[in-house]
Amino acid sequence: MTGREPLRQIGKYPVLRKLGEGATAEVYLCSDPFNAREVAIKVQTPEAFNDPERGDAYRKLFLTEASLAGKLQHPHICQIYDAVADESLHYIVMEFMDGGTLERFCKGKPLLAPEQIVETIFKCTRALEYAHRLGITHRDIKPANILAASERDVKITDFGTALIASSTTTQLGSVGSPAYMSPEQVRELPVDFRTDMYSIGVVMYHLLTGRLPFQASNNLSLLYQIANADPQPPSDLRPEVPPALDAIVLRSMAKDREHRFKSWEEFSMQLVNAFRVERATARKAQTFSDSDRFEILRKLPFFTDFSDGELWEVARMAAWRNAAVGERLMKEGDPGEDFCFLAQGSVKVTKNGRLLNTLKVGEPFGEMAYLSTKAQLRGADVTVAEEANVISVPSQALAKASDGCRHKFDRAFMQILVDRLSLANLKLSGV
Amino acid sequence: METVANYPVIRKLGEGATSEVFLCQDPFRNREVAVKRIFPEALRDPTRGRLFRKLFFTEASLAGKLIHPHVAQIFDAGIGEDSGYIVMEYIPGGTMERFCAPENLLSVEQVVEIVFKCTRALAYAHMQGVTHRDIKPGNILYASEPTDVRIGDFGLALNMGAETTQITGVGSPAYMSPEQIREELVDHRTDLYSLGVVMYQMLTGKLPFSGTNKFSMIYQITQYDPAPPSASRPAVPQSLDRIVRRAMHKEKEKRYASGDEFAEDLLEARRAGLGAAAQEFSDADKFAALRAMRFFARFADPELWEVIRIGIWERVAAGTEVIREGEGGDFFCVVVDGEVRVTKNKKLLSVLGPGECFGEMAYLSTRGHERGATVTSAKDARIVRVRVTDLEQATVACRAKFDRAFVGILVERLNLANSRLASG
Repeated sequence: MTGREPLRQIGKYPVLRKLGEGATAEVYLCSDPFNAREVAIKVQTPEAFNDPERGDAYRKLFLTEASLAGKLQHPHICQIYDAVADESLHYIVMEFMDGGTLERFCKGKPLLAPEQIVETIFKCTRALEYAHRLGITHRDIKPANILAASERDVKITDFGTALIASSTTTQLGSVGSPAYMSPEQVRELPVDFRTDMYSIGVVMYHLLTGRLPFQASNNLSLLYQIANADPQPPSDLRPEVPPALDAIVLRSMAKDREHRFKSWEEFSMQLVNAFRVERATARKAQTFSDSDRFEILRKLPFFTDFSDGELWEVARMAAWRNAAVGERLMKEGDPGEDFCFLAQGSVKVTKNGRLLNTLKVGEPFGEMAYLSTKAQLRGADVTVAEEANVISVPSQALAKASDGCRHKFDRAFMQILVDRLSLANLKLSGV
Repeated sequence: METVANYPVIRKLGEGATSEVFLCQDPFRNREVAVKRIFPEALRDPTRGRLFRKLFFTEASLAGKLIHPHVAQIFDAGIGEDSGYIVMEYIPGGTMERFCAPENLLSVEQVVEIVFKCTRALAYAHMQGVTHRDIKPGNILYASEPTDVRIGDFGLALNMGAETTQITGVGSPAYMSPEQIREELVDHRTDLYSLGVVMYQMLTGKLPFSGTNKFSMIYQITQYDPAPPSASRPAVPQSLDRIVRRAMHKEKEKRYASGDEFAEDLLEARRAGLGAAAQEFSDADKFAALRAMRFFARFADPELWEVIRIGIWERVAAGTEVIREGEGGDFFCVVVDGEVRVTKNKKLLSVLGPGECFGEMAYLSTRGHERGATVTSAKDARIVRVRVTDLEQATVACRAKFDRAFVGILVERLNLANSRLASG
C-alpha cells in the first residue's frame, strides 16, 4: 500500500476525499450518485488477495463476511451497503458518519463524565447483543471502531471485516496494537462473543481513566500482561469512579471468560443499575438518560414485541417528564395530539368530575388521538394521582416513524382494543 | 471470470443497438440481477453522449423509486466516461414479443389481463412523474406465466434517445405515438398510445400500420386510422375495438386521460363479457373488487396486488359453513359478493355483505384464538381468505395497512358498544 497514488474513483463511486488510513486499509469519503448520498468506503489491501493460490478463497471469504455483516441493521451499528471484490480492488461501502471516533475521548483531558461513559457503553452492549443473536462476533472492538458524532450518537463499525484482516496477517505480527485484545485472542485460542465483552471492557477502562489498563514498553510485554496481570481498578486513577463501575469493568475484563458476564443482557443491566441507587437517594428533578428510557420502555408490557431498533426509535420520539400530584395532563375537549404512558405513578381519568378509571404504570391513555382516523378531541380529563413520570408520544412523530415501528404500535393497540371490546360485550350481554 | 460493473456474469441475455444485457450474480445480496451495459460508442457520441450522461442519474434514480409488482425494479446504475450500466430485477420468462406472433396469440381474456396490469403500473409511474416513452412488446416482460408481467426499462427510454435512433437507425417506429414521430413534446399519454399498439398487436398478431418501409409507416401513424382489431380476429368484441381506438387516438387530448381511465374501460369490457367462457377471478377482477371496498381504501396499488397474491379466492355455495364456532382458526375472510350469516348457538347475530370481514379475531388477538361464532354463506358468495401466516410474510407496508384498517373497525365497534352501554 505504500507509495500508492490516492484513488479518484472507486468502482462506481467518485472519491471526495481520503478519510484515513490503517495498516491494511484506506478509508475514503465518496459519493453514491444513484442513491444521492455520501458513503465511506474502506479499501482493503491485504497482500493475501494477490496470492495466486489462495487469492480466490480470500476474495470469497471477504464477500461472505461482508454480506453477513450487511444484514446488521441497528441504530448503533454502522450500516454496510455493498461490498465488491474484483481483480484490482476490494472494498466495503458503508454509512458515512461525520465526527470522528471514541478515540478522541480517550486522550485524557477532558474525560467524559462517568454517566456519559455508561450511556455510550450501554449502547454498544445492546448493539453487540443484537449482532451476537445473528451469530456475528466483532473481534476487533476498540475506540477507533466506535464512531461518535457526539457522545450520545455512537455506531460500531467494521463488523466482520476484522476476520479478513486477521486471516491474512496475524494481528500479533502486524502493526496494530494488541491493547484491546482478549487473553484468548492473545493466546490464539478460539474466541466467542465474550472476546468482544473483554474488549469493550478495555474501551470502558480507557474512557474512564484516559489510560489503557496495561502499560508496557513493547508489544510482547503487553501481551504477557494481558494474559497474566490484573489491572488496577479504574477508581485508583480517577477517584470519582463509583465502586459499581469498577466492578463492571473488572468483571468484563476477567482473564477467564467464564468469569465475565454470562450474556450481553447481564452486562447492560449492570450498566443501567450502576447509577440507580445514587439517583434514587438524590431524588432531584430527574432527567432521563437514553439508557433509562430504553430500559423503562423495554419493561412495559405494551412494548414486549418491539425490537431493539424500534425501542430506540420510541425512546427518541417520545417526550419524558415528571408530573406532580394534581397536575392535569389532559383536558376534556382539547385537541389530542399525543398519547401517553406512565413510567411511574398513577393518574385518574374523570369526566364531569366523575371518576372513570385509575391508570397505573404501563397503561396507555389519550390513545384515541392516534387510533381514530378523524381528528379527535379529548373525551375525559386526566389528572396525576401519585407523582408520575410521563412518556408522551406525539402522533405526528409516530406518523414519521419506520413502518416496522408503527406496525408494532398498531399490533399492541389492537390487543388492547380487543380486550376492551370483549369486556364491553361481556357487560352488554350481562345487562 | 468476466464481470460487468463488478457483477460476475452468468451469461449474456441479449443485445440491442446501444447496449447489451447480462444475467449476473450479486454476491453481496445473494440474488441474480440483469445488468444492462451501454456500449462505449453510444457514450462517446459528441452531442448526445454528453446530454445522456447529464440526464442519466436523474432518470435512473427517479425510475429506481418505482416499486410496484408490475414494474421491473432498478437497483443501481452508474456511468463513467465511456461505460454505463443499469442493474435491474431479473425476470426469467421472456417478453411479450413472443405473444405477438400470429401463431402464438394469447386468448382475448389474457391479453386484457396483461394490458390491465400495464395500465395500472403506468398510472402508478405517471403519478410519480415518470413517463416510459418506449413501451413496446420487448419491454414488457413476464416471469413465470404470460400474465405475470413487469414493465422493464423505465426511465431509460432516454436510453440513447428513442427519437432519433429508432427512426433512422435500427429500431422500428411501430410503437411510437404521432407526437413522438413529429418530435413534439411528449407527456404520459404517449405511453398510453404505445400500450394501445401493443394491445392491438397482441390481439391480432399484426401491427396496426404495416408500411413497406419506415417512411411509409411514419406517414400512416400520423395520418391514417387503423382497421379495428376485430377485422383480423373476429373473436375480439367491439368493446375492445373501441378501447384500442381510444388509446391510439392521433390527438392525445382525445385519448384516455390516465392509465386509471384506460384500466376502468378494460374492466367495463370484462364485465360486459369477452365472448368465450370468462375465467373466474382474473387478477383484473380481483383488483377491481378490492379497490372498490372501503376496507382497502387506504391500500396503495402495490399493497393491493400483494393482497391479491396472498389471498385465497373462493366461491362458496349457499349453506356452506366457512367458520365453525369453537374451532381454532388461522385465517380471516372478506366478503367479495353475496352474503354470509353469523350465528352463535343457532341464533343469528348478523348478516355480512360485500366488503365486510369475518374471522378477523384470528389475526387481531395476539393470543390463541377460538372461533366465537359460526359463519355460513346465505346465498352463493365469493370470499377472499387470508391466512395469518401468509400475512406475516407480506411487506411491512402491507401489514401496516391491514393494521390501520382493523384498528378503525375495532374503534368503531368499541364506540358502538360504549354508547349502547351508556344508553343502557
